[in-house]
Amino acid sequence: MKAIIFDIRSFSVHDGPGIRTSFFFKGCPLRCTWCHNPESHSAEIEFVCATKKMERHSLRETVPIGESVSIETAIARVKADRLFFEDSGGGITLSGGEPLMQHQFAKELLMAANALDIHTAIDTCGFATEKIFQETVAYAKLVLYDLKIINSALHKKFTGQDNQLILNNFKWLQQQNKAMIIRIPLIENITDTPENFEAIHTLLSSSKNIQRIDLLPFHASANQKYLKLNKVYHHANSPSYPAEKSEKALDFFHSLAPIVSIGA
Amino acid sequence: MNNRIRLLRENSLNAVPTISAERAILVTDFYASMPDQLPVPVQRAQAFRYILQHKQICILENELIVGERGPAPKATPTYPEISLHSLQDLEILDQREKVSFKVDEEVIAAFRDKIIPFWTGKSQRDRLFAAMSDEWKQAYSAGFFTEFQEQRAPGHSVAGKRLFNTGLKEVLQEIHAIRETGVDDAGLAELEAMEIVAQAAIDHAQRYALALKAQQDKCSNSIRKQELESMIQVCQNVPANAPKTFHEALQHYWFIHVGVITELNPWDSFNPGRLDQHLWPFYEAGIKEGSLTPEKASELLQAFWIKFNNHPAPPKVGITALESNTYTDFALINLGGLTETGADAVNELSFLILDVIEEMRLLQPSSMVQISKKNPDRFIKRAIKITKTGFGQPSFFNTDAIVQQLLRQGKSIEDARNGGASGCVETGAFGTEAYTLSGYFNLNKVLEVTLYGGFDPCSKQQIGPKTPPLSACQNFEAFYESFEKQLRYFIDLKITGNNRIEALFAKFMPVPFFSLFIEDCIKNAKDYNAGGARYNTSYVQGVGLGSITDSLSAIEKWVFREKEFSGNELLKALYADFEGFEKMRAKLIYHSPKWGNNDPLSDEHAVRVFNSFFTAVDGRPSHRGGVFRINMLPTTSHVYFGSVTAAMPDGRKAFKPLSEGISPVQGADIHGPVAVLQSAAKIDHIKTGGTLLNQKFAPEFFKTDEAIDKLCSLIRSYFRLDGHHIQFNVVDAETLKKAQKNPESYRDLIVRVAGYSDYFNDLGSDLQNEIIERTAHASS
Repeated sequence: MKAIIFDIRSFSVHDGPGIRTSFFFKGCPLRCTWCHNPESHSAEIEFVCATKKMERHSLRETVPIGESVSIETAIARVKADRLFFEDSGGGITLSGGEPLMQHQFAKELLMAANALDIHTAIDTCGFATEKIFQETVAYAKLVLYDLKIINSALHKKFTGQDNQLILNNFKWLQQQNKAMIIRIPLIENITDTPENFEAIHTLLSSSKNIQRIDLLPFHASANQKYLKLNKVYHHANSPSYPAEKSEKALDFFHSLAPIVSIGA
Repeated sequence: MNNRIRLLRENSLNAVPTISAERAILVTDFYASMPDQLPVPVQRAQAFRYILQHKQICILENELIVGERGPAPKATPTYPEISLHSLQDLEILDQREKVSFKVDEEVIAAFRDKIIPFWTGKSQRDRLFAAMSDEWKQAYSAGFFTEFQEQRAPGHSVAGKRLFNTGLKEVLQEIHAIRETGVDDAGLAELEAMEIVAQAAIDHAQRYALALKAQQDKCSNSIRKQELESMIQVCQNVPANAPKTFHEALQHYWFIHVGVITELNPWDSFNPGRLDQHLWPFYEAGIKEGSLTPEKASELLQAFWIKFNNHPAPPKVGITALESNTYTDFALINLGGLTETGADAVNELSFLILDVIEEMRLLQPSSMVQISKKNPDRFIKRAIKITKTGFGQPSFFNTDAIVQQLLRQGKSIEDARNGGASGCVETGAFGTEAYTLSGYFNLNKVLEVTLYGGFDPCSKQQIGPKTPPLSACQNFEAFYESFEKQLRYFIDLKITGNNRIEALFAKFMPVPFFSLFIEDCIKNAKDYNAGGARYNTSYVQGVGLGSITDSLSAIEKWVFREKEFSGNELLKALYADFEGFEKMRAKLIYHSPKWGNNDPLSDEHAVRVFNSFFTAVDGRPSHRGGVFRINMLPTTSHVYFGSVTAAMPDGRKAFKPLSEGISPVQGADIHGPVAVLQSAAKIDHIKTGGTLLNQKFAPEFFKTDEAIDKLCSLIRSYFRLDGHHIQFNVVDAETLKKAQKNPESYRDLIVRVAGYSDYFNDLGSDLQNEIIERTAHASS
């Protein structure tokens, strides 16, 4: 079994507790207008031009984004990093992209880690059928769940997809009492409207299993990546999210989880 | 810090390093009028006594701990009997941009009229070069290795517990007792010398007591008068008798420190070692009986810190200046670790000293924490919080690895647990071992001449044995066999040379005073430099593991496995410094396995070359009756060694710095710190006497407690893998670039170099650039 993965990162420290090894799955069902990870959109291996700099010289090369990784290779990597998980209370995180787009591989990898007593987390946007979602996420001890826009029409407008599945899956997580870290992107006039904040607040107020909330302010940093991939970036000229507004958002959400922080 | 300390600290920071001719004049006067036929150890002892009797006594305003090597802070003596500075050397020292020492007219006159005429042809340096073979000299000039004892005496060793609870009167009794047991003539001469120097040090302290008394008589401030009274009592008691109080313990050590660095200029000055352990009984008793408060202890420690900072490393010139281009004299305070019985040694004082380190923020002394699995996380986290302020201290050492290393070398478990690391990262049994560094060894230079069959493209001569060049090798194994042959040849040169040098030091430069403090020199009636210590180790320090690993990986991949280009084509590209071979260079840099990424294709070469180096050196007998061992550290020699090594198959351009310690090549570790540690742990640290790993973190990484927790566990994991040492550089590249442009506004900027910290402004621009590159990489 193989998956298309665009990065495996050890010492990932923003994707759950402790020191983690994160697998970034390639391919995402959403197209959030603010996305800073355009290389994760397509589920195929892509090729881009890269410039290799060497003092006065620079050479242009074609380099792949993503590679086909076998489940054996992935499990070997998990085993290799085990000691660092043990000492830090870390583990593995499946991220992306959207790992559930390659759910069979994701499930295999989670099961293998569980069998090794290694902590598992999955970072998902929640856009998957209930069956796939439940069958896979059941094997993760922690879910990093994105909540972007609660109004379905606006969700569709800014992410390209309806959010009914996302809300249904969230409800299931609540029922399962699954440990969760909620991630809310702060995008001016899109996710930070009073109505949306209220709706997210309401949704989270009824949850008991939220360990922390990470507010992720928009950073104007992805222009180069979009250009390289020849993709249009809707936020090419947007400024970074103002710090004082992030603080306001922090105040607004601060009572909903033991830890609420700006950035991960 | 209080006002007194603030002023003393500022004076120390503002003092300009100068050359003082005082010691050189005194030692010349002594030798010029010395009676004939004295045995060498007695000559040396009498010279030591003469200097201590006649040197100026320097007591600074409001000082608590007294004793200066020179007539003023940073007034730095020279040691013409070891290395005689020419007038041109003095001019270079005065004029050079970095690590300069101001030289005034009077000093120049003393050198011109007295010191140079007397010592020309008679210094240890002259003897040393005269004793070396032509092959040794060729290899030394071409940059295959450096020679530590060329301008400085052997040293490196560290004070043990005994120093802190033994007065010199008791030492004198021990000497008498040993003499009664019947020793040979050489032993008798050494014991006589030891007696002379012990008494000389007691008398020297009395000179301070008298000078303090004179100050007291003139003093009108009643508080200072009282303070001077207690200082007089301290100087009357130590080092003659064992210290009774915290204050006395610090002053006792400091008098001995000044003695050791006045007798000769041993490497790494001297070192109190496990300071929180040695001082603990005095601290505990003082607090209990109410004669000491934590605040008073803190103030005394701060005063002690400033004394170290007043003493720059003796002036170095030539290759020695290149390999160790810094004012730092490498006294490395050890905190934490294990007690002699194997228990957690962290105590209240460990934390108090960490506070002192943070508040003093001085270049010297350097500081480190020993971390055993038994030490609490709280201790590591406190240390990380100091590291995050960005001056590179303290660094982190693995006690459990150090103990294993020392046991492997044959030390007793108690001596091993009383040990630690000194200098940059060097493992030693404190108070019982003479472990000297013999010089850096340029592994990459050996690989370079292997490429050309023993021919050095830089000095344009056949310098090694004739072996088939890369272009004539049928497979990688054949090439590696040639490399090992060259390696053995140059290691043989190095070790043969070192054994001759050890013999010269044993014969001509005994150090009876230093010998008093390293067991069992007295018992054996034998000098430190002659093998008198309980354990004797000579180290050869390998440099550039990352660079050589990447070169070997690239050769194997492109020339032999994928046959993308031939050995001949690679050599042409190297010879052209890659001009016109940019595509090949891009492959070498960007598409070859690189050390530090937990990539087996690279790491197997690192392990192999490490083992070859180990096998060539470890266990070979030394002249002092000890053995040679390896460790892996560079100080600043990776820059010097780079400057004598042309383009290499890792894609490095000619004469650029090599990688330092066991760290990856600058910018080559693209998979983060876990992968770096995993690679680094693949070599067997237990077989070394220390390895140096530099890890760069951008400052934002240290922002939260959560991040510090993760860093703490990262250190724990590396140490569980038997890693020896890790240090952190926490400054962003932008700050460094600004500092390079406007050095005047960044006079206090201290960065981690390699095993020690230094003022950024005092680094050469090549080293500055190298650190900027490392740092930028960490932030990206």
